[in-house]
Amino acid sequence: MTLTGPAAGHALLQTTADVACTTVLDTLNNCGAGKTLWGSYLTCEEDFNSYFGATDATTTLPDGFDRYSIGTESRYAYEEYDPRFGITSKPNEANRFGYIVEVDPANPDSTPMKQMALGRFKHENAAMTLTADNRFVVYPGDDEHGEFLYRYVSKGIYAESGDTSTLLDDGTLYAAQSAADRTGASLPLTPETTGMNELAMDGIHTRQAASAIGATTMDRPVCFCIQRRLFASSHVCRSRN
Amino acid sequence: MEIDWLFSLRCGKLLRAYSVTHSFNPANGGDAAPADRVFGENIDGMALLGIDGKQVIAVNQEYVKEDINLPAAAGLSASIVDSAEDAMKLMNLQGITVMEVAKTASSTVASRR
Repeated sequence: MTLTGPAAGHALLQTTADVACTTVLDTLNNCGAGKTLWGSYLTCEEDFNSYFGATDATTTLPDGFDRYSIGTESRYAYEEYDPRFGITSKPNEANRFGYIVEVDPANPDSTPMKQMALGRFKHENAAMTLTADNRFVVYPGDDEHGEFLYRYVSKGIYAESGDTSTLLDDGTLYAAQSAADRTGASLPLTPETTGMNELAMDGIHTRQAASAIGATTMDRPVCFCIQRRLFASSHVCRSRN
Repeated sequence: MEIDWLFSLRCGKLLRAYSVTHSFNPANGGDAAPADRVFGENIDGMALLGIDGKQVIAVNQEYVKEDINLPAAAGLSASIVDSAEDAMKLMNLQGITVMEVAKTASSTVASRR
């Protein structure tokens, strides 16, 4: 499948089999899902960390692996039979998982796309809506204690029967910050705000980026739904915890 | 409210487009060769889509259960995948199934798109 979004092509995604960092085999641990307004299917990679392990117990974990609970022991021991899953020799492969994948069910010959602009974490599901000016919005859940509530807003405008090809790979990912007086703010994850220098890093090390901007941690912000309030145009985003 | 229901597909069965006779074999947890065409278990997210007047279901098979899919290894505490074939079988049982469902005179059938 194709890697899309600002992180595609980044060196942290590079493997010997994919020097260009734009193509990946597999999608792992597909948990919740969502259906877009244009009929595609979003499938969410959740506990991807458990598929990777080390064939050498003394392997030093690369930076950022601990934040995603990627360790030396895997659940299925794939690394013993397929080097792609071995972080000893193929440490970048794990960076290619933890995303939302878009599938076109109407076209069996289409290539699914990992929409990396939606961030990298343990994606539970994808709740979707539109802003007042018809920008496409995704609320992706992160199934982990002490992580964050995110919101993605497309740069482009959704129009029925219009071009939707960039709505999921060109936009801004925000993390929520709340205050004791019950006010809150959506903070954009950009190189200027996170200090990560590259927008691609915000997409690959999303949790670290949200920490850097002071987003508010939540107790497993797993699964979201959107309820349109009666007599108001605002939306409610809710965790099941 | 009463609901009528029929089996479209059982976990471990091949999708109809590939075979109508294949059955899940609990003794070996299912054969390795056709695992990429089997409807897996531990289903999670799904969506029903109307495409060109047909009903299509996309559904995730999130993970596998080692004691079901590799029963010979049941009881072991770790690393129960002990061959490349085992690993490939488990990989193929996980993922996404996209299938068309249609109601016929005798049953509801599912076939992979």
